[in-house]
Amino acid sequence: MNITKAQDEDILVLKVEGKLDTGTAPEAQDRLQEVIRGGARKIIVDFESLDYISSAGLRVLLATAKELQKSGGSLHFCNLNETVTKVFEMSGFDTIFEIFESKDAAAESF
Amino acid sequence: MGTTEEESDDAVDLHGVRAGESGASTLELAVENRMEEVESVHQAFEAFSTDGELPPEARRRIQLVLDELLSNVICYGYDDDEKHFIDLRFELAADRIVLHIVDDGCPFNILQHPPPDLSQDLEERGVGGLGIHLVVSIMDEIAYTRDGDQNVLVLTKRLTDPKSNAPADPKSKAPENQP
Repeated sequence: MNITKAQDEDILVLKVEGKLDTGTAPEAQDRLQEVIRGGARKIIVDFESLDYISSAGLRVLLATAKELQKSGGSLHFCNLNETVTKVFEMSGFDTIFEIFESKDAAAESF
Repeated sequence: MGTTEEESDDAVDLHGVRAGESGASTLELAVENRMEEVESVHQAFEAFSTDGELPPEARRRIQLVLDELLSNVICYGYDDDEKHFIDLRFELAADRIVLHIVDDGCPFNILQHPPPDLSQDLEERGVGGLGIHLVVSIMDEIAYTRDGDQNVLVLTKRLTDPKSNAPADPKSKAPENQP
């Protein structure tokens, strides 16, 4: 797994590549905590290059979203592949998270 | 992730790929009960699925299932600190992939695991039970037996529409069967 950061005005875009599972979730958690501590409040997680996500990855997203919500920020997701979309639906994450077709749509909706 | 090279000793015992009955190819692995071994399983399965031309969406779903089940057995299956091996067997045919998982951990029937509450909002939500729920949702058939001191789990994913790389949705598959 690899996470790359790009700042677009007041929006931080995090592109996650590879897989978010038991093996990679701790590192993802550290990276997300780090950007929140660094002051990011509008965060887009771009899953265009994410292969799949397991419940360990979902746990990290949930913890991140809760922490961001406490500090008045929000988390938007975009470019989910079919497997990731399905996992979000199966776990009910599609109803608690804001998911967009594209990065532009995710950015416009803050 | 490729960051655990030092860990990649021979704890994953690769029995190899061979052609089985009716053209199905088979991969068998014996995995030590350490989380560091899960990545080796993913690598072996990726190579196997590429050779067997498993559609990418199906390959991703099986990897997710593997991650959930192996981490569950390794983290919660044993009440001692001994070394154990989990036997994995994959059978890939044109119309299905079957995964056998055998472990000598505590009895655990995933089919009797209570489903998570998916109706809570963000603040209340947890992810307890979500992994097993994903496994049960993704796979088309699941059989569990306790055989002596072993859990024997056989999971099948049908590859109903290889052209679109889209495995059947378990919630909408019933009326779609061919006449």
